[in-house]
Amino acid sequence: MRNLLFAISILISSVLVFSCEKEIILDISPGEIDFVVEAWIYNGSGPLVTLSKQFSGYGTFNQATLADSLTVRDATIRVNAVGGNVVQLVEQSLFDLPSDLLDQFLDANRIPRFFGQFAGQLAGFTLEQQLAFAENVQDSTFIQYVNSLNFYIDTTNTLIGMGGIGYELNIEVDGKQLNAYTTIPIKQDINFLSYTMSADYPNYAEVNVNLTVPNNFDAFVLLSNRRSDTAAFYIPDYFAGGLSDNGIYAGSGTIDLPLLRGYADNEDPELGVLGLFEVGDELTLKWQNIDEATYNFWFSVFNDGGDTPFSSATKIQSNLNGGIGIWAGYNTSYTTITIQ
Amino acid sequence: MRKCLLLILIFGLILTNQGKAQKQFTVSGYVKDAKSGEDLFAANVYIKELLKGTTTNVYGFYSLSTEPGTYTIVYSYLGTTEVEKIITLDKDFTLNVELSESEVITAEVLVTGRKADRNIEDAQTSVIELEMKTVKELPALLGEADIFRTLQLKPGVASAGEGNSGLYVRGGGPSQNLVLLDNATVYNPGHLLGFFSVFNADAIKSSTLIKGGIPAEYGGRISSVLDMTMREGNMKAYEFEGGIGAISSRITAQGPIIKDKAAFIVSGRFTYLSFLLNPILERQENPVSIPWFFDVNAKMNFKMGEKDRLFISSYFGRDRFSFSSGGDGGLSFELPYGNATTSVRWNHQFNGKLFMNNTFVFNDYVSKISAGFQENSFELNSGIRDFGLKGSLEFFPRITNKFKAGYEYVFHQFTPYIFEANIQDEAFTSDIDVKYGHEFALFIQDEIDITSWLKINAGLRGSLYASTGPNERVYFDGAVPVDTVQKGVFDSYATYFGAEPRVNARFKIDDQTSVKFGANLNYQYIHSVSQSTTTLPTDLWVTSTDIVKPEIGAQVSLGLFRNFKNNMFEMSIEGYYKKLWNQIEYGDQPIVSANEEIEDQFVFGEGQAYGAEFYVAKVLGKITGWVGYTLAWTNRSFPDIDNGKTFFNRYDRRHDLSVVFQYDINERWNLNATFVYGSGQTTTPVVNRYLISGEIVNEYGDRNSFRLPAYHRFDIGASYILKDNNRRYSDVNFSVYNLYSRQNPYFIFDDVNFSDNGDIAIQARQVSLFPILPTITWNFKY
Repeated sequence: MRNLLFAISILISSVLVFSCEKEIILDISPGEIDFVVEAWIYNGSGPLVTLSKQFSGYGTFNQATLADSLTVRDATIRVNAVGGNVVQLVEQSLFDLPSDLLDQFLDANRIPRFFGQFAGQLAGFTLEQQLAFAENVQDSTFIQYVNSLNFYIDTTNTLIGMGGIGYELNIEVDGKQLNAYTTIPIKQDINFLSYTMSADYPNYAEVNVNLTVPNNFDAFVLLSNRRSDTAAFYIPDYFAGGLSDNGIYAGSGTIDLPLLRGYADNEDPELGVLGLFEVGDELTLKWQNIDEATYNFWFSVFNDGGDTPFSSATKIQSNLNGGIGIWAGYNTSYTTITIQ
Repeated sequence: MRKCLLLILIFGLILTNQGKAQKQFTVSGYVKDAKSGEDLFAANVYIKELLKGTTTNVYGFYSLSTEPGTYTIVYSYLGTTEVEKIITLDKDFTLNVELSESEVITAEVLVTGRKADRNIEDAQTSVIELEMKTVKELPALLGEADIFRTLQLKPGVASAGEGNSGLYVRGGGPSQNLVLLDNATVYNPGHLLGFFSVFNADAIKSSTLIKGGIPAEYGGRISSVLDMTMREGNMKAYEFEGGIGAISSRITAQGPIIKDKAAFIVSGRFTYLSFLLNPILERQENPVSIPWFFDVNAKMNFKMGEKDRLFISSYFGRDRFSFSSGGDGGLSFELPYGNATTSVRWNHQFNGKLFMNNTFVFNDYVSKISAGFQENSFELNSGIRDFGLKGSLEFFPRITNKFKAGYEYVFHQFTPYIFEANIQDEAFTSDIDVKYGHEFALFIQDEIDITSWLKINAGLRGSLYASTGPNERVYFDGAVPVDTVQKGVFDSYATYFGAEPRVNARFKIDDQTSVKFGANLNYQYIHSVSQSTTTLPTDLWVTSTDIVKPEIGAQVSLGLFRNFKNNMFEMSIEGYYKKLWNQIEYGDQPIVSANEEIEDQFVFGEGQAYGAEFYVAKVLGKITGWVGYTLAWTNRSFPDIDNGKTFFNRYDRRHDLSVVFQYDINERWNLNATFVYGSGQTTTPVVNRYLISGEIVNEYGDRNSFRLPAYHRFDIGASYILKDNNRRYSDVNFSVYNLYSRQNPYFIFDDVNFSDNGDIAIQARQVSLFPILPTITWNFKY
């Protein structure tokens, strides 16, 4: 189906070859402003929660100012493993995050877009090194943005994510209650990565992920990859490359899944080598087993084409009650191969 | 069932009473064009002394039965000189008549030719008969004369805006219209992604759109019927005609196979813009490609004696969009799609009162997407194929009574999205099977003058549908298959029956005024649902099943019809209310790709449409034209969309105005102008945004809760006849589309830009398609 959408996107560009466009002022009444949750818990780590608000309207927004104005503070947030103890999370700045949560946040598919402009240079460096770099390039917006970020974490380290366990999130803020439930799925072991050299492009290779899927295994997956120690992780969000649902894997036994290369926003690959890895790449696959609700959330985010003659508006599928966003459990593993 | 029996009883009584009446004789025959020998459809035949008459059926056949006596029978047709025949009716006999083109088209000729008060006399309400002359003369987008776009200028047919020639009739969608070409269904009537209709005006003889009070002989759709017939070919001499336009050229050849016994016509169209521009466009930094199309209409007809006729007609059209970029191993992409139809019709005239038609029909609509990328390939096939038999008996017991009964059987074969892929030497294919459906119907209808002021056309259609094997159906829980059911050829997943009463009644107030009432209940067993806001070639036709119930539509309409100035002006006001059940949409969530059973993605609801249509036309004289205005509402409610909140449908147009002006300045010059205004189409707006991982995510408001700016456009055109004698004809047509270059909204989108200084600029932008577009078309005939 994604291929169909891709095909249609080419049609759109062709239909519009003689079209013209102009800015238009729309008088659209904003909807009710909801709280936005982006929260996760990895296997082997504690929970990390960010809380913000929606915004509306058109115009030019400064990212740092916007992030600062949307960040929600002074919320009471609790997380518990089903059947386990409840922990209350504590507000922290980016600088106070433990290294595992900081890495999770700084993974390229999680970091803000403008930060991504420097991701090629910055990923793999410490936060202090990155800030120094930002100061060097006089990126005050970046510094302001980082300072505006606000996280809720478990400072007691008593709640550590485990595969196969469900987790509840409860938030009280401004008299509102938000709650959600997620699970960290059982990890799906990857056997190995393999590659074959491209017949058309000698310096490029096609990569496969070899994995064995047990029968009736609910394997929803979000994946991303990076191509060297200093590169960031990027989701291949074309050709349905970043998400897989359980219908593809169920009862399949051992399969080879094509792995497409993820690209940064500012990369513009040639069509001929789209998705291929280059000789010399040290490729790391970040494989994240997720539950169905998390899959549905990301699937709806990736598939929103807007309400046009060729696509329809997609309602984002949140698992939050009382708000919007996602409370996700990730069972994450990393696998590496070098293309030679 | 009791209602059905009651109706059958009424028909029986009517027929029985005919038998008890005074002895009658019948004059019957065919009305033909004197020059070409083609049958004339809807020619007027009436008995002067009785002021009663009839019109010819689509095969040019007429039948008049009345008491013995001497009568003057008057035959007339648009643009022809009327013919009078004096007969002594003391036995049954056949009288075939040929009508000649009038030397001079005067108002008087047009008065008699058109049966000027037919709009007052006929029982059928909510009907539009389109003349091909009008279609060809009006200014057209890129010079392409288009039947659909001309129909959109009539009240009740919403102008869908730019880039969409689909018909939106009284709040219904394009897939809810029954589009027939010589009795064969055309499933996708759009070329170039819907910018133009597939019907070549050169090949079409007649075009009738029925918006309400749909007669029982038509079934299978709930919104409207567009019944078109192809020209039959010149029985007397060879003719060639054609035209060269901005984007396409067309050529038609016709002539006798055996003079006055058999004839053929072949008409073709093809575009050439893509061949000129694609080599340039595909080399751009952001390569694009222009699609192309061609279509061919062909028809043969044979007289097999005095009482039998055979017609074989075919349409074949293909659109193709192809694209390649990136050199070897780069992306290649093709989207071919198109319709093929064939109908074989056999007419038999048992006697002067009984006329039979049987038709074998074959329809095939295919759509394919194929893509290649590096060493991978992907192909997605879909379509629908029909084999059908239709038959009808027309019985003309009295001059005031036409009875028709018939049957219809169609075997549908649905190809869902079936894919084949080769990814890195590994082959993948769909597990989904072809679907099958059997659609059967019987109908009876009777048109009868009860009194001089009351005429009724009533009928009943009984329809039966079964979706069957041989295939297997996989049932999913989300994306996971959980059960498989196998069915054989005679096993059905679901069987449905529909009793579909239809009625039209005309109450004549005086010779210039009548009131008409129409009502119909229709079942639709096959469905097409679009993921987008327009019809795309990739839209899938699906069968009714245990999950997808038949769509049902009920409509009532009431109209006042009034002519003025000796039928020089026609006026009508019609109101309608339509209720729709089992409507189908995609839900708010994206398609789950692993579940290939597309019907699992559907949600079901109800709808309604209501409105009023105002129409004033000047049909005679050098200046002709019309003003049509529609005030309408159409909405839907689905439990799974916006929590069941009622929303305006995509085709909701509160106001829809069309003004058409035609001026025959002299024998050579003709001027035309059209103005259209339509309320903006609805769209689903972004009401809020939020940041997830630094990316902006949109939150949409209620479905179709925002209306785009209004659509309006002014077109002008002129035709100049270069040569017109008995042997050769040629003209040149100038048209200017969108004269004041209005930037009408095609759609809007949010443009989000991140700048290096950390700013996010969010703009709403409107995309418009066609600015002012002047075109010239040269037409010829010899």
